[in-house]
Amino acid sequence: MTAEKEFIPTALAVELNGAVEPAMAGPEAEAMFSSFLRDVTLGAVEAGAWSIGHVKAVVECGDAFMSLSSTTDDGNVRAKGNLGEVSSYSMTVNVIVYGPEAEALERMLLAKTSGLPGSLEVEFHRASGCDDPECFDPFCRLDEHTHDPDCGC
Amino acid sequence: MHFVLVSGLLGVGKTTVILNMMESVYESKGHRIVVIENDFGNKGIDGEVMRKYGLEVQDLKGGCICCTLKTGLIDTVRVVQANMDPDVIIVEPSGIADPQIVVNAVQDCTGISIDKLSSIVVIDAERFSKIWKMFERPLRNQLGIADLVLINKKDTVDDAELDSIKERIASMGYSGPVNAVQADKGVNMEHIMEIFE
Repeated sequence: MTAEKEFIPTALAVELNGAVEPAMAGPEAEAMFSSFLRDVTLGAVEAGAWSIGHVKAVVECGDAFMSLSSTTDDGNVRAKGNLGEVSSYSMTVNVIVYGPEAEALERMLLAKTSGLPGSLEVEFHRASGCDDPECFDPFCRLDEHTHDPDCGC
Repeated sequence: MHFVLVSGLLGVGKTTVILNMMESVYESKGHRIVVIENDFGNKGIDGEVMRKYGLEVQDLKGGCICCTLKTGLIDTVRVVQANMDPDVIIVEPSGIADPQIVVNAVQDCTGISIDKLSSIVVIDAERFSKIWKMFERPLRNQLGIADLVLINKKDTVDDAELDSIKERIASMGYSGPVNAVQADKGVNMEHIMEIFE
């Protein structure tokens, strides 16, 4: 294998669509989303991540958006962008870490989302790769993928 | 067409580097640039963020690092070149891909007109001392094809730590240019323009 199996992380995406009543002020919402991503990173560490690959998110509220990124096991979050008043939002979170199984990350993420205000729709997407047992890449999304014997692996 | 590969481990700041770099390249050269992303399918963050900043982004079809990436990448580059005819194509492989495969695929292919191929490797100053040993093999693979190394997040370490990172990179066999940058603030990013000269 060109990329050794031990260097293959567990990768999970979650889409969140939420409605907030009453609407939140932008700075308050930004702090809330940063805090959420910090909790997700810390949760991944608690779930057994021996290295944080990248925990990141993008939040959209109308035309405004912010991106958030966390890469260290202390949960520090770097954020970019600003939100206006938030009454509804959509958020995509990618959790790419080394160690935990996808099921453990899903359970952790579900628990963390319960701390977000308002009504929420949650949809998980696992990057579990294709069906080829020789392919360890969780990002492989070719259903028809079969290992190429000439690829030099 | 100039083909620029921006690689690095997960979370090092590849997307931030590209965002900053593209703004500079477009402003100073007027080049048309397309980014090819190898991300989390249609649930990825990086491509979405770049699109929101007004960049042209193509999703890399496929994504397997061991074999289908080659054909997927070449097919995508062909389509981009035929339909968009950019001056620069920037490829951001996922943080687990071996960039050597990308370079080999591009060099071996026919039917794509590439005038110049450059490889930028991004390293995370904040985590380097903790993870370099765990990820030494992929790091060596990346450094093995680098034309320029960017040590990103330089604001998180002191000068002594920065020197230590440079020494470690050199000990892995890399002897090319190294720039310490803070990509999210555009600090020291001007040197990156040298690869576009």
